[in-house]
Amino acid sequence: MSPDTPPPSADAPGSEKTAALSSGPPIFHVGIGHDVGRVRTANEDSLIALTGLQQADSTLPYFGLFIVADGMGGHELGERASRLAAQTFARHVLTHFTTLWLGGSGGEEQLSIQEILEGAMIAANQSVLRHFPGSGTTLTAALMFSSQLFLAHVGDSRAYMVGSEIKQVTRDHSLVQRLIDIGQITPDEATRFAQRNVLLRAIGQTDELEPEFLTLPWEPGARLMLCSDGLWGPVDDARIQETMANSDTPQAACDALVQLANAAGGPDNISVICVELAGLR
Amino acid sequence: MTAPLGPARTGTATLSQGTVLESRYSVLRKLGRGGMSAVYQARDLRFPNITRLVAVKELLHSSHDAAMLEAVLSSFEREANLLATLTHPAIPRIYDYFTIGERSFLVMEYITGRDLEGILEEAPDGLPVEKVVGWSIELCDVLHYLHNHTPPIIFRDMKPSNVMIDENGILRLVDFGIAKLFAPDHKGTMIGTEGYSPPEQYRGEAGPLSDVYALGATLHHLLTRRDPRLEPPFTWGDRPIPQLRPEVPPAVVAVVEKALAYDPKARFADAHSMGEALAQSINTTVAVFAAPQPVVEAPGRSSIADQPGAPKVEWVFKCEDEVRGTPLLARDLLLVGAYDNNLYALNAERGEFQWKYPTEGGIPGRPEVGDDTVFVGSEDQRLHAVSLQTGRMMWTYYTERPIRASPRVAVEHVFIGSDDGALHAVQALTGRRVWKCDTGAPVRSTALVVGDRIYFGSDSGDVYALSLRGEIKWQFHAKRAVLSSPAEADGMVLFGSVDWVLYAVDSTSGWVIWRFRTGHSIVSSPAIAEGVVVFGSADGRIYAADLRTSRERWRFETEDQVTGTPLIHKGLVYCGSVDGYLYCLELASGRLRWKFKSGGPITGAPAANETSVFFGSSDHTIYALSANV
Repeated sequence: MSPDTPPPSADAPGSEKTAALSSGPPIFHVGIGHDVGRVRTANEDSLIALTGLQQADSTLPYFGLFIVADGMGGHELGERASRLAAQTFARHVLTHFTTLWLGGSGGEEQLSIQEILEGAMIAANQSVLRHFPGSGTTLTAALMFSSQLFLAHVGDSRAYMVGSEIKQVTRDHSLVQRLIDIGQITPDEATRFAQRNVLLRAIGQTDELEPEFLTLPWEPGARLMLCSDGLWGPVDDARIQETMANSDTPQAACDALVQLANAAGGPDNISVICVELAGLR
Repeated sequence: MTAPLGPARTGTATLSQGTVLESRYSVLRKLGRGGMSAVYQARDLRFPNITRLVAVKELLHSSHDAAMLEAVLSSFEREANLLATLTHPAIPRIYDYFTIGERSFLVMEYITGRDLEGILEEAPDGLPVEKVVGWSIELCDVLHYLHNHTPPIIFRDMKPSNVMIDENGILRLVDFGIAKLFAPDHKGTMIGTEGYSPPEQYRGEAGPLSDVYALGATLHHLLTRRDPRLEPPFTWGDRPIPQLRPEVPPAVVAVVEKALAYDPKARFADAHSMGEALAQSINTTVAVFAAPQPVVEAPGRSSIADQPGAPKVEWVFKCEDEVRGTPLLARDLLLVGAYDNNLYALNAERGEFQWKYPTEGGIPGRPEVGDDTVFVGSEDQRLHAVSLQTGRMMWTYYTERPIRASPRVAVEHVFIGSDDGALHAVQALTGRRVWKCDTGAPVRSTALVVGDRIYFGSDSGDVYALSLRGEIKWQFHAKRAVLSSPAEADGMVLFGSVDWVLYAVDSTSGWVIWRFRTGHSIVSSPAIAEGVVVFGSADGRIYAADLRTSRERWRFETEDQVTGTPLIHKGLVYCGSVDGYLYCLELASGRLRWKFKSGGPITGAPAANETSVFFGSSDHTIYALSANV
């Protein structure tokens, strides 16, 4: 700054951000649903939800990391694969993202969010390949900070933005989705398609994993919802939206969604994470 | 190296060369001395790398009475503040004022040029009537501005030697306000210059109509070459204009005579009416200010006609040097800067010349318009503010090095980078600096303002996010220079770097969200529409990438570097290349619709409206093509 710059006000760094919030720092409200369903005997899904808040010397007062992984393989392999993938993914993000978030140095060239999330996905893939060959898992992860939502995913676990309407923000890496994309079947036919569970991409299948990365602005007032196909399979989007809109809290929404899936037969494990960011303008 | 100022006793002593006032203004020479002031040329030491000249005017007061002195000094301060609020292109800008001991100084714009007295002396056959009337119309405009100021300001000393034509050909009123500033305020003191002053001013009374009279006298002098100071007062009737200068139209003579009426009530009601009468008297105000007529050429046939599918050329306009910048559409005008130093205003529909504004350096960037004012940076180191209507200068703002960035207008300020290493924030209305942010390397990237944030890049490789007060909110470092101008979408700021990468960073925190690597430097700025970012690279390609996933949608190969910025308009991408072509591609697919060959590299961005696409080329030409192919 040149000397003739008017002195800045006594505001602390980051105070403009805080001032835009209704009261206090933004707070994550997180709900979780994790249910075996009515048909399976084991729950092969894994969930992780991490949130961080800091009122320190930072313009980034919060972050949230939410992961849903839906394993497959039988004999506990699916369960282990999803757990290992989710944990490895979270560990990688904590190492690279959270260090920077807490003011650490990013080295010569700061990794992009895309590189961090894709790197986490590759790390998860390699550890599953190494430790549980023959198994596999989906993985859908959402990183939130600074009014942005960053998503990385492989497989058919989904992320939705749910407000007055419901928007699916990930696109399944499944045979069904591909057939819809190329116009071979309609979305309506897809709900009755025999090979609905066939994935085109999953963690633990091959070295050449191609994770999908996506960034989009967080919509104030909306809720983020991540779920496995145990929810979105038996329950259609309109019911999900209606149920979430009628739930006061993210936890109530998760409970209601699990009930809905079970009421529809509960054919698979049901995993759901619902996130609300209170206090964001 | 500060030479001591003399004590109060020598309060009227001349400042010697090398005297440094306020540790900032180094006196170079004395320019002149009048009854109540002395004027010096000085160098502003705040700008060590360039010679910025200022005029320092010293108030000379002879009174040693303490109470009187105090009154004079407080009056000086009040008046200096008043002067500083004046904004008119003909009125020199006040930079500073201060008092050292009993000596008061006013620092103002140093104007290089000639005064009308000197110009008249060098025209033994007299000055062209149209020219004199043109100047007088402009003087009426300044007087009208002053008289309608709150409180009204009476100039009191209108005469040829107080009017300068500066190096840009712009008329400037100098020695402004000094007569009023320091005059003891009682009746009976004659202020002004004998010969030009009206009868009432000899009685110590001066009002707006006194300035009208003095302007009439000035006009008489300029037309007849008869110096009123050498004649008895109020003897105009002895020197009738038709006798001395038969070619002066009777209508002009009538205006001069009316202005010189002995009784103020018989003069024009105000300066504005006089200006109107003058304009009517020669019946063509425009001609007075008009620049040379345009060279609108018929569309060339050889190079264009043999391109199948090429768009129709609506018009072309030839400049005298390369057009490297980007045109701007404002109302029905197309504004373009050229390396012939001019900012051109053309009728967008027909390419007809409307006006041009000369700077003293090449214009590499794009003009910007706000509130009927055009802002443009020039390699003459200045940011120029020009009236959109007339092309006349409103103000200029100096930086310390050439300006190669384009201005950005937002929240009543102009933000512009300079090769002096800073982003400057300047009041749009007055041209006064509010702050600057130094980056240590030339700033050629055009600032982006979104909400309460300003984003821009520097040749240092840094990209800054500033608050509107100029505080740094975050700083992102690319490996090489960032000449590209940032664009914003969905909370992301995107820009290219000479390190070959297009970056998408979080607008709140500066975190890099994704990178897109190309095969060479990116100087081109990104254009964003429909979730896609389009940009050029020196690897010769135009790229389109998905904003959300960073995946490449398509790429298009040109035959040379793509340094220009694409324009996305109605689902089409228009982008120039150093290969001389303007390409029109489909946004969705990157498929070529048509290409148009100009005679030289295209380095700026195009502009478009409903019917046409406009762009400049290094072949000195501005092209308008039909957009509906």
